[in-house]
Amino acid sequence: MSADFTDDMDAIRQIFFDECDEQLALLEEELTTLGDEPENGEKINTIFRCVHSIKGGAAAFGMEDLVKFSHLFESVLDRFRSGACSVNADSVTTFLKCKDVLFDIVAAFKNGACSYDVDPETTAELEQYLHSEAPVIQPKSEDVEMDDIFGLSFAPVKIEIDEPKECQYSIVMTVSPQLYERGDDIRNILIALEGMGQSQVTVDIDNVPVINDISPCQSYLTWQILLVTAEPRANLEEIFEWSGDDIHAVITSLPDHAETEVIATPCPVPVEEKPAPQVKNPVERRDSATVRVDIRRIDKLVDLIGELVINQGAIQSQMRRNKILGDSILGNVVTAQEQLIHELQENVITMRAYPIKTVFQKLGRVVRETARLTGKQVRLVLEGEDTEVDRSILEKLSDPLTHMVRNAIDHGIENAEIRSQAGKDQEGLLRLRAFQRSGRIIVEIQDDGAGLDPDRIYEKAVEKKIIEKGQRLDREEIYSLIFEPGFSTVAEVTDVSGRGVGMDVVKQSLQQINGRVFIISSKGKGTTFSISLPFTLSVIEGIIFKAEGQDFVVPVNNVSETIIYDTRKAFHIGEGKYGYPYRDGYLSVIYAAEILGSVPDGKSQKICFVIENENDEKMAFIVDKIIDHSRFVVKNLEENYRKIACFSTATILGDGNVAFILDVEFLFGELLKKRESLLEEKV
Amino acid sequence: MSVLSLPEMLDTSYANTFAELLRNEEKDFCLDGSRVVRVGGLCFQLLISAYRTAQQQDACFEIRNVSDAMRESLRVMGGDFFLSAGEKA
Repeated sequence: MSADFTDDMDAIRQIFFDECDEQLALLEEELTTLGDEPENGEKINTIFRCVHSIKGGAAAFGMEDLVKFSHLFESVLDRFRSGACSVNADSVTTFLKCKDVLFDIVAAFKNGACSYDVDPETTAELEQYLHSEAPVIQPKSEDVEMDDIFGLSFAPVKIEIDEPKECQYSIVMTVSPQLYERGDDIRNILIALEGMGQSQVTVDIDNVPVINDISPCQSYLTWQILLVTAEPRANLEEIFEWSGDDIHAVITSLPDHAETEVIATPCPVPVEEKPAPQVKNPVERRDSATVRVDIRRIDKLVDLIGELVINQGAIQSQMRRNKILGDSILGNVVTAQEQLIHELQENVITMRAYPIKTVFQKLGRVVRETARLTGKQVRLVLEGEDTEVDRSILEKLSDPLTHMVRNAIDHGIENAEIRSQAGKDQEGLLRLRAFQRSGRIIVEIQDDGAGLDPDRIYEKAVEKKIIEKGQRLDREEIYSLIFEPGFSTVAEVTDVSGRGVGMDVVKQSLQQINGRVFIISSKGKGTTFSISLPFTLSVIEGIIFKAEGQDFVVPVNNVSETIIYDTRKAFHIGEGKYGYPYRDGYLSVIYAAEILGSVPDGKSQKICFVIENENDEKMAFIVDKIIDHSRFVVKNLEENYRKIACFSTATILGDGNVAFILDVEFLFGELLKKRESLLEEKV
Repeated sequence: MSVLSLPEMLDTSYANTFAELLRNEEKDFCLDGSRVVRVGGLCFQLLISAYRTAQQQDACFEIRNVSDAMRESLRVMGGDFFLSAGEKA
């Protein structure tokens, strides 16, 4: 049993950590908005449940430090639930700090730690709430004349706030073997019950067989617990909630509260029949609308559907070769199948999409910590948190965003004094926004700080020998210098962003996920970093074309127009360099043949793609022939071969051949720049 | 009489092994609990099974050197009776 059992335990442990991540995300979400709705009791309840769930799971795995801290946090939250304490800005700050501590403890156990020392300051801060006085409601004197509102007079009513009354409960419980199979233990339940008050536990051992007859994983015991507690009954019931159907518990209030309730469903435990207790208001179990699936299975599904798409291409390729028309019976069947595969692919890719909220929420902590370290006041505003992004992109987005957020606070937002002098609110504003545009995901990091200083950036770039003195650059080009390796305008290395990771690494990380970053900045008003990302890295919609006898793909998002290329209209602007009239202006021309190292012959080139990039810059890209417009499964070049300039990725076509996918930004960045100056001079 | 030294963790993953070890005991059950840090529900049940077996066979059941953690685990699960009956310090 041991190897399988260990694997099972690891899997269950992983599920627990996944659930912790979900609970912590929900906790962050609720805490972030708690300050806006301090009277919202449901929010405190949700927060309490998150902490309670983490505690329940942690107890099952013996993570005692996590249990201890979450128990303390839970006890404090209970004071807020009961109205003994009220929510204000300070308490929200404390709760957020505690959420961060919970996150750290979970992370430590996830990484194999057996214990975690919680900062005593945080514990002390929490404990203060345990011992704080209940808020006193001072009723107005009875002879005070009450406001007359719309003709109605209100008189104060004295509210008696009593100490919670102690109740006595009898709990009879049996457990199913599944409780142990999923890593939990009756011991945890008994410890939790004991933590609620005074308990007396007796165990009925009559059904336990002798050692030669016992099945070690079966459950034979029945426990009876007499519990005296001041906790509300709901708290008692919550202890059993985490165990679901694996515990059959009958709770009876004693002696005058003869309410009996069955928690969870009966389980097949070999116990003696007892008189059926009165069942009243059984607890409803929430039906979950989700199914937890190992991400590797979904990744495998995405890969398999990718192969299916390639296979579909092969069928179409064979049809063309055998001159089977698209409107034939077979053609119609193949077209219908193509549509189904397309839908299947979109659905599976959506399954792998996560809301960007998961990354944004982690940044909440980064903002708090950076603000604390820099002594600045920063308000974080999140927008478009439900925007979904492929998981593979999301995983790689966290680090660059973290660095950019730190930078925005450390270098962008000014301290309160400077902001006051500039007539700004003392509290800086950092806005994180995500939305979809033209089939891509846009993530913006916007601050209302000092803005970028182009003169300072230029000077620094010269000083660092990134550019030469006197070099002509426009404002955007100057801003983009901050992404050059070794660039930093900050003389002093700070604890916050001077950690050896420059903006060049940020740019590289974003490029790995086909992301582009643009900067809009206004001196004294702030800076916006706009990151453009694909929705997925798995599939691309593109146009397949031929050049020099080979097949290539250009992403359809980058093609604004396709026109017949008229060689006679092209004009010479330098050695092998051409311009082409387009609407009221001119476009620089790049021949596909050029990027393959050939010289265009001027006869084969018949099609012109008007290609545009994220900055709405355009160019004429001349190819020999358009083959088709389709969706292509993307294959990483570096993983399968090596990086090739001009091409971002590759795909496998229906005939089994490989087609490279154009890196449009490279065309604009490396090739076009050389042409632009020549074109300007000529025109 | 041989003494079966109990491990630190008498948890679910140890239940099958523990059952086998107890079945291999000739007649009497003499256990050493000095190292025990935690006792889970299934192993607790096996201890009870051994205790009942000893009772039926008029054999001896004793736990020597019970660690504080083991004592606490047994107490939490309602095994006080069982300590006073089968424990030898």
